[in-house]
Amino acid sequence: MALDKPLEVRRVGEVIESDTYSVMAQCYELYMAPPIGSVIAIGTPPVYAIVNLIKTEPLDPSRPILARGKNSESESQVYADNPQIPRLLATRFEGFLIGYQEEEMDKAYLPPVPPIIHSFIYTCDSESTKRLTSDLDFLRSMISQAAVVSDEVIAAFVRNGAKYQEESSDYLLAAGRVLAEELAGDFPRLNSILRRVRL
Amino acid sequence: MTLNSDGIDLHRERPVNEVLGLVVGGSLGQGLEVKLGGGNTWTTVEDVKVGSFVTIRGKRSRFFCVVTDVSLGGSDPRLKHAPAGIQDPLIADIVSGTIAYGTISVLPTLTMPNILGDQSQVPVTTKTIPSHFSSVYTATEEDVAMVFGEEDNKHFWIGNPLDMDTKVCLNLDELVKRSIGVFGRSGTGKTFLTRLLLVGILQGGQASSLIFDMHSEYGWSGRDADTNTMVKGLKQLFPSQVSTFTLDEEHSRRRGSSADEVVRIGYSDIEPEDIELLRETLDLSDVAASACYNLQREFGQHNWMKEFLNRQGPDIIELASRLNVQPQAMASLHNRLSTRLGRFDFLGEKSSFDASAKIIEHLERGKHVVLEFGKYGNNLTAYILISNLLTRRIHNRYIEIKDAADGGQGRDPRPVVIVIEEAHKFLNPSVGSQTIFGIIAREMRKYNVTLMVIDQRPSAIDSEVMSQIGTRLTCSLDNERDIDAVLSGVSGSRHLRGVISRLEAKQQSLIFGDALPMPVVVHTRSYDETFYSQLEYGSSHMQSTVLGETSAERLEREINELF
Ligand SMILES: Nc1ncnc2c1ncn2[C@@H]1O[C@H](COP(=O)(O)OP(=O)(O)O)[C@@H](O)[C@H]1O
Ligand SMILES: [Mg+2]
Repeated sequence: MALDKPLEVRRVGEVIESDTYSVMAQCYELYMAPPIGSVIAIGTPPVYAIVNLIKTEPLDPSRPILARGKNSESESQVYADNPQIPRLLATRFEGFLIGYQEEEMDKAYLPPVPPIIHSFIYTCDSESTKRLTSDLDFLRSMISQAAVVSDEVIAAFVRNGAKYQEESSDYLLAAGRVLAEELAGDFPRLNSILRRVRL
Repeated sequence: MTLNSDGIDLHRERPVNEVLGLVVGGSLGQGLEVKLGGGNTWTTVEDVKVGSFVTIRGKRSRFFCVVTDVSLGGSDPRLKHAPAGIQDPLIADIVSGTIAYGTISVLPTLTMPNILGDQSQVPVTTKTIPSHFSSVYTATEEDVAMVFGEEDNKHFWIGNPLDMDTKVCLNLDELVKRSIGVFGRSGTGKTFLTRLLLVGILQGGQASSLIFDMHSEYGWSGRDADTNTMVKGLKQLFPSQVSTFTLDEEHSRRRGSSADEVVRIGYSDIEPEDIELLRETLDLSDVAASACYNLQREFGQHNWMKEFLNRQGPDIIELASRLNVQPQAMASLHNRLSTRLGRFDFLGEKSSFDASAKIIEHLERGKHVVLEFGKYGNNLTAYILISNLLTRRIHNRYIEIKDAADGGQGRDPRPVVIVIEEAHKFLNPSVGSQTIFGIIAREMRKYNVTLMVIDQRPSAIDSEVMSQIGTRLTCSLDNERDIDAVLSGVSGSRHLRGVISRLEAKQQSLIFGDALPMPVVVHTRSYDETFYSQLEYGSSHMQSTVLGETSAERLEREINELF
């Protein structure tokens, strides 16, 4: 199966909150968060995370956003008429930590300490996306947090992985079996995820 | 080179078959539960058959096991109730083998050497089980060959495990040490299996055999009713080693077989206990049957039958009152003996022919004796009477010879295997304890006499006799009680039950007991032209070949000679 369009390494933002399991990041540019389920690298040597929640909200929580487009022709018109908007908003996203690199080796478990604040966040290129998704231990590592990671994110990770493997159907089967082993006692949940991994 | 802690080169280990699954539970007594799948292979239940072999690689040893059951399991009971999504082929593929998986039950039977070609270790009965999550593999041909031995003059190739080319060989020494049982419904292959066993025993030379050949199937050619062709008998295959006796000379001659001896029995040979054994077939009351003893006391063993049969009407009543026997019973005894036994041509007032002595003479010369019943084949009375009478005498003679040998005079008698059909008629619980066959079965091989019993109703055989049968070969059985009887006293029988009831209707048998290291289901070796030709190479005492003849030519010549 054809590979998806190649991914590039881009610096997209910085860590603004950090704990053992996850980081919260702010994007440098409004709406430029990496897609959910994609793999991101935080800092150097990298800590790997999966993009989970993405949100765009007012920079100042005490100043709620108001609707402004009642008399505008289009949505882009709204932005054009209110050039201050991007300065009032921020796009943030959450990344669930799934592993890290140490001495050039990928580790499919949590780093001993979480990334520091202001660590730079990069998207992964096709090559590392392929490497990290094909190591199904990362998938296991993610499911071990199944209580907090949503079905959608898990499914997106698998879909994303499949896009960058040469044999995507073999990959789907192998990844599906990992899910099935990890979620052996919860068929409805497994089913719900699997229905979302179809490309 | 990778050496493990015992200094064994791990890379020299035998190549393995694919991983079937992992051990997930179980016990030595109840067998192990193996979850299929794991590793990178995803075996489905459909790949595994009951009765096939697997090996399990434990931490210290390898275990040889037989598959006893196959089932479907699931890690989530909700799968059964809401199998939504399964229609999707991808989801179905993912779920099967993981959440919905197959399990097999396997019975560990032997511990195998860990390394192929390690001659210092032989498979031994297992006393432990592999630990959790040990890998399970399909047994290789080499594994199976290591367990069931190679064909040689002490090991007879009886068949092949299902779906395998490996030979299953019976240990002939062990086979003839204790009695042998061949069971199965009618038409499942008992006669063919018996033919094979007899050839094995004959070739091995461990014992002679005496065959009470009810339907004249073993000595000269027998008819294969299914294909309506003729199959060779022992005499045709091993002319110089087999003697045929017949009760019905005319019948033998018609079939182109010239019997070596024609058996005649005198009245004086018949003892009251012979009649006692015929109570059921002659439909005699207890009282009537036991009247024979009174007659024997009155007239002596030599004359009682003759004297009794010579009397008519009032004389019988008079005799009854003199001997204190109920007249009615005496009359019915007289009636049955004269009408039923009187019809036998082989039975006469006098006989100068001592059949048992003749048989022993042939046996002692190392011959195998087949007694054909000819037209009496369907007459159970004749069969029971003759087999019992001759066996009793032969057994007595063996005791004498054996006791003399034990006392330092002469050699031990040559071991003999006595073959009887419809064995339950001789060995049912009501008579089994008294008959000579019951005695032989129980005393084991003390006097070098053992039995091969062929029967389609093993449940009717006395359980004590059954327990003395060392090697049992059973074709398909469908009656629960028969299956129970065949398996009585066997450990792990719960697992074997299912195996028996699933045997194919023909030419498949479950074999277990002394002659094999573990129970095994075999596709019985075909008894046909190929078999005959294999015998040439297998036996040195085969009849001579015409010099320069190819085996095909030879086969043709033999066939021409026969028909
Ligand atoms: N080992 C065998 N070789 C060839 N044919 C066999 C064999 N076993 C069974 N058969 C076939 O099955 C039929 C029934 O076998 P048979 O031994 O006569 O059954 P039984 O004695 O149990 O009634 C035979 O006629 C033959 O066609
Ligand atoms: Mg038969």
